Formats: sequence, C-alpha cells, structure tokens
Amino acid sequence: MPEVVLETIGLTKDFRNRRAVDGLSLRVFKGDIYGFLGPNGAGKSTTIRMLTGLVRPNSGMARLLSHNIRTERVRALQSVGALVESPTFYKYMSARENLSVFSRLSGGCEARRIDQVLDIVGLLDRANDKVKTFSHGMLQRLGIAQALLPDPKLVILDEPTSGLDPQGMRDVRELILRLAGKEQVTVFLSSHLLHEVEHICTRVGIINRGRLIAEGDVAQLLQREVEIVEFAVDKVDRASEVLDGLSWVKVLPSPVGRGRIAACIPAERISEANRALVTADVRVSAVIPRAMTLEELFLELTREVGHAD
Amino acid sequence: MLIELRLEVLKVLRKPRTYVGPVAMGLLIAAVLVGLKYSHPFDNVEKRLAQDFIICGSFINAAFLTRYLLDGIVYMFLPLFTCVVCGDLIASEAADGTLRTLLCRPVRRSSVAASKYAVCVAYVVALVLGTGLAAYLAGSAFLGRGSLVLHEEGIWILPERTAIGRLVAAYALVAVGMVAVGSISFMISTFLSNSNGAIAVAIGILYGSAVIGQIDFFAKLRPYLLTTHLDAWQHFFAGALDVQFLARSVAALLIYSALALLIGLLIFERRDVLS
Repeated sequence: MPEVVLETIGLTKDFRNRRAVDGLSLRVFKGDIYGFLGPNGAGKSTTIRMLTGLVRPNSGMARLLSHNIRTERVRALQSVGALVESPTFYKYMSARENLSVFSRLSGGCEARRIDQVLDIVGLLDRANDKVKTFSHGMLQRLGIAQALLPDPKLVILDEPTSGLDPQGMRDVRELILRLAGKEQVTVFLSSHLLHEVEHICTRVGIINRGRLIAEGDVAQLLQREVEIVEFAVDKVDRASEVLDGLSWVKVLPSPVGRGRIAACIPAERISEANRALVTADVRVSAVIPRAMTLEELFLELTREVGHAD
Repeated sequence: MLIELRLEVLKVLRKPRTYVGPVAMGLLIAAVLVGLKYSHPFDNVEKRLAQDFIICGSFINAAFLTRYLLDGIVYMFLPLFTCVVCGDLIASEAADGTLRTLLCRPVRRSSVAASKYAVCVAYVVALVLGTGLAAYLAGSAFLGRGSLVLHEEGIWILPERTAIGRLVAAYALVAVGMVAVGSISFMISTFLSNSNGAIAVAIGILYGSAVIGQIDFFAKLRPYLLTTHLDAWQHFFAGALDVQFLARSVAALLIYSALALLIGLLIFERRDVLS
C-alpha cells in the first residue's frame, strides 16, 4: 500500500450553529495530485484551514506526513508548503524580502533557493519590487513560490490558478505536474476548474455540505455502469421533457452545446431512449456515446445530495 | 523565538505607522519648547514668586519642560501612539491575511505572539523614555538647565540632580503604565481582525477607567483602576515620596500587563484564523 501523506479521520468543524465540515475522512497517498472539489460553501477552505492548523476542528483528526496537526503542528508543517485562499504578503516589503521572512520561519533557506522559486514562478525579474506594485496574478505566483520555499514533500494549494490569465494557468498546471513528477511532491489542491482537475489530478475527493460524497482515482470515478449519451436534436426542451419522463434516464444538467442534450442511460437501453424521442416527434440526427466528464460527475453528485436533502 | 523576534523587529521598522509616534512627540516637544520660550505663560507665577524670593534666571528650564510635558502626554498622546502600534501588531496581520500565511508555517503560535509582545514593550519603553530624553536635551539646549520648581501644595525646589532622578523615575513609571495600556490593546488585537477596533477599544477602556475613577459611587474601585496607577508618576513631583504607594502602583500596572498578556496568548493560541 502506498505511503499515506495526508489523512483525515472524522474531521468536523462547527461555526456557531452551522456545521461546515462533517466527519470528513480522506486519504492522500505519496505522489498523488489530489483534487479537492466542491461547490462554494461546501467546506473546502475550512478543511484546508484545519489541515494547515489555522482552524481547530471540533472533533476528528488530521495527519500530515504522519504527524497529528493538532498535537504536533510544528513538525507536521515542517515539510509542507501551503497556499491558503488568496495569497497575502507584507505590502511594504519586496518579493524577495517577503520570501526571506517566510523562509526563516521554516528553518531558513539559502538565498539561492529564494531565487530558484522566484524563477520557477517567473518573478525573478521582479524580485526586488515592492509587493504592493504586484497584480493579483503576480501575487498568486508569489503565493505558490512561498509554498515551494521549504522544499516540501506535500504542497497544499487552495485555488492556485485563481486570478491567473490563461498562460499563467497553464504555467501553474505544468508546474504542478513537474512537482509531482520530477520532484516527487504530493499535491493536494482545491479548484473550481473541473476540466483542469480532470487533466492533472490522479485522484479526487468531492465534498458537498461538509461531507465527502465521492473519492477515488479519476478514471475509476468516471467509469460508470451507465453511459453518457449525447443526442443531437431539433427540440432540446421537448427532448429533455421526454427523457426526464423515463425513470432509468438521468438528464445531465450541464448544457453540452446548441441542439444537444446529454443523459446517463444504461447501455442496453439507449435505443429505447432514442425510440421515445422519435415517438415524441423529436428529430434525432445523432446519438453519440461518450465518457463522463468530471464536471458532469461533479454536477450529478452534488445535485443528488441537494435533492436528497 | 529569536528568529520570530528579529522578524517582528524588521516588520515594525518597515511600517510607516511606527514612526508616527516619535515624529509627533518630536513636534510636540518643539511646540511646547517654543511656547515656553517665547510666550511667557508663567510670567504671573514668576512675579508672585518674586514677591517672596530672589529669583535668579528663570524656572522654565529643561527639567521644567520635561515635567510639564508629562501633563499633556500621559492621557492623550502616549496611549494613542502606544495603541496604534501595539493594537496593530496582530489585528492588522489578521485583516491583511498575512497572519494566515505566517501561521501556515512550522512556527509556534505562542512564539509569534510573544515576539510581537516583546516588540510592543520595547517600542513603548523606547517611545516614553525617548520622549523624556528628547525633551530634556531640547530643553537644555534652548532653555538651559537648573533646579525644578514645583507648585504642588506649596513650593518645592528640587536641585538639578534630584530633579533628574525624579524625572527618570517618573518617565520609567509612565513607561510601565504605557506597557499596561499597550498590553491591553495587544490582548484586544488577538481576537479582533481590525487594528482600528483594537486601538479604539483600548483607548475606550482607558478613558472609561478615568471616568469611573471620577465618580464617587465607584470610590471602592479606585485602587484597582488602571488610571489610578497611571497617575502615580505625579507623586514624584509632590515633595516627599510615598514609596509604598509607588510600589503598589508599579505592582498593579505589572499585574495589568501580565494578565493582558496571558489572556492574549491564550486567545491567540486557540483562535481560528478565518480572515
């Protein structure tokens, strides 16, 4: 069994009358790029704050690199780099001075390492500029740089591509892949960009209303007994109505394109669904079976939980 | 702890608000100095004294300026500038979000808080003693030196050496008092994410204590009020010294500081960082 780098067991956090995280148990293995997904307010940031010792759980526990974050916080964070929500720095200091301050709190590092991480995130030429002159995207990069400072074994990134332009997003994606590949760093990241997570993450956990509702290998999670079928139709609303009326069909909520509708249908009943559409006077010009995307799985799971409530 | 302390010193030195207090005190000293030298506000007193004494020179000198300054700064400027820095140390980091980045690091919360508190104490002591020293040096240069003449329940003339000793002791006691004020604002800043709030609440506590101290109904509370002991420095200029009272005041101010520090550390240790 691979080494567990990050583990939570029954992690729970209440804020006054609201339960933000409810008995969360998850595991991240060495070498994983673990995508932590959930809608807004699902409990992602609270979980990350508990993992980094910023918030005290009401019950349960979290272990980073085999150290309990509550009882051995300093040791647990020794080889962990973290970027929690939007990056914040001392505005009156330069990028280099900020990294120097934060590196000293991690036991210090050579000046060369500061230049190295600034180079990794493309900020070496702005190293001596005051942080108050930085754009949001540059701050985001500097946030990632400070997370990489201690040469971490585990990097926790909360929305690392937030505020970045397409090129910046791509750079961060490549950086994460490089970290996990060449540098053997385990990455735990939360993101709203599901297609991005699908492409770079090896495992994902989906959280909704504080509870983990799915966890596993991305490929495994997307492998379902039912197939996703896209119908190219002339009347999308009518087609949606017809398919909704079939108890064994689940119409996917995300729009898939003009004149198209997607639904989860057991493989052996695709023709039956097609016949129902045609009988209802919907002209079907194409039936395209395809794999489920992470976005569709995410929307399906979070909707299921919403409906169950 | 040493690393955290060095970082806190570095951070405080880089903040513009750190210099507001010293600059303002410098300007205040200059203004009082000019006022004393050119507007002759104590002419009447001097004339009255001249009826019974032979006055050589002027009693407005460096010692007088340094003593006179205390009246104006103990309740206004010093608490304000103390709170501006001490109330800002944690609250502003919480508001800016840097506290989050800081505490994600493998560093003990107690070390972070203790080093911030140490910087707070050092700043307050430097501000108070620096103000006293600057006032005396400026007074020496522009008003001259000499005995300190006091009009407290009669006329007291303290020879220069005694006057300097009393001034040093008074400023030291004010520094202890301001450390207590700073400790309270530091404590408040551990649970507020707004430095202005921490400053306002601390100043509010100080003035609230002063108001309560004036109301006879609360007379029994007076020995325990912060302001009662903040006023203790005046005993250094009231002729004979009441050492017991002064010792009690120092102890009370130290207890205020220790309690505020302890509560602040406990809150900071347990606080959820949500900003």
